Amino acid sequence: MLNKKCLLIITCIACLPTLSIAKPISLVESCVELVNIYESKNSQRLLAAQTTSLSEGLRAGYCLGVLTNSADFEYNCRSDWFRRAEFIATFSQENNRPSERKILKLSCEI
Amino acid sequence: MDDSNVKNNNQEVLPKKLTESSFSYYFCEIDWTLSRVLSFVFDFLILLSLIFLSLLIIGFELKEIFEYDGGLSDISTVEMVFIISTIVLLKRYRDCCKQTSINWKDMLTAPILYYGKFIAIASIIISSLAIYDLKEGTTYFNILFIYGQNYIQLLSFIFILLGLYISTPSKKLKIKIDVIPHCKNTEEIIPPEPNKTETENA
Repeated sequence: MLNKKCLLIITCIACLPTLSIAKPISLVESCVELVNIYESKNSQRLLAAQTTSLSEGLRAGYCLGVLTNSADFEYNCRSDWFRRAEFIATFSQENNRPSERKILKLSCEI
Repeated sequence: MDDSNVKNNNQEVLPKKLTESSFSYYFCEIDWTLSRVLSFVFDFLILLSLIFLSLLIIGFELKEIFEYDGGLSDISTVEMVFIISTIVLLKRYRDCCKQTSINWKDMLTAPILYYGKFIAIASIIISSLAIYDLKEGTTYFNILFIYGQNYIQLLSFIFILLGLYISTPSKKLKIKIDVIPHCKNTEEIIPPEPNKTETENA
């Protein structure tokens, strides 16, 4: 009986990723994840590896990628990616956010 | 000392007994009942708000675990440890409750109430931080909720697990197996006497 229960639970957990539809990636949320992992440009926060999931890591990587890419090609930003990520993360508290492109442009000006 | 003297002395010391027909008697009764009703309502409201608060936060935490609807990829190591620990502690709690005479209502509400109390304390601390921010114009509250999301979640998990761990019922409520009145199968409780022939041979 216990084995059947265990089997059912394992099957349900295994089916979770197939049933779920992942949300689209938002730059602001991604940058929140990035600043939750990194304490500064060169050091990670305490227990960052343990408290970060695969989805969160993916989003943090997305934010980092967008920031470095825009710094290199689009807007020619001079400020470092961590400060820009911090700036973008502050928009998570706002209800009427500007567009991502606008936020990226604003982040270059800090 | 004479008995009649003692009775007279007692009558002098004790307050004048209120007769059931007097206004003071009814006033005292109404006053007493009202205070008890208000006390009951106050206790009930606190209980209800604590349960509501803790259920709300538990729901929020569950939503936070699967925040991106990514299934298993949303679960971090800490969240996985939390889920397993919760299952283990829930099983322990159920086993502990089974050994006691605690009713199902208390069994369900005890861990939720403990968690609610923890959350209430944490809310007071966070509120004081928000008030300090409003007064001084600082942004500690925002910093906490942007940069400390993982730590807040970790703290909430610790509160849930601690609440589950400490909500075990008192040992005084433990049921003694030999005095269970409705126990039909006595063979399970009283061990069978050893066979005489076997003991003699031994």
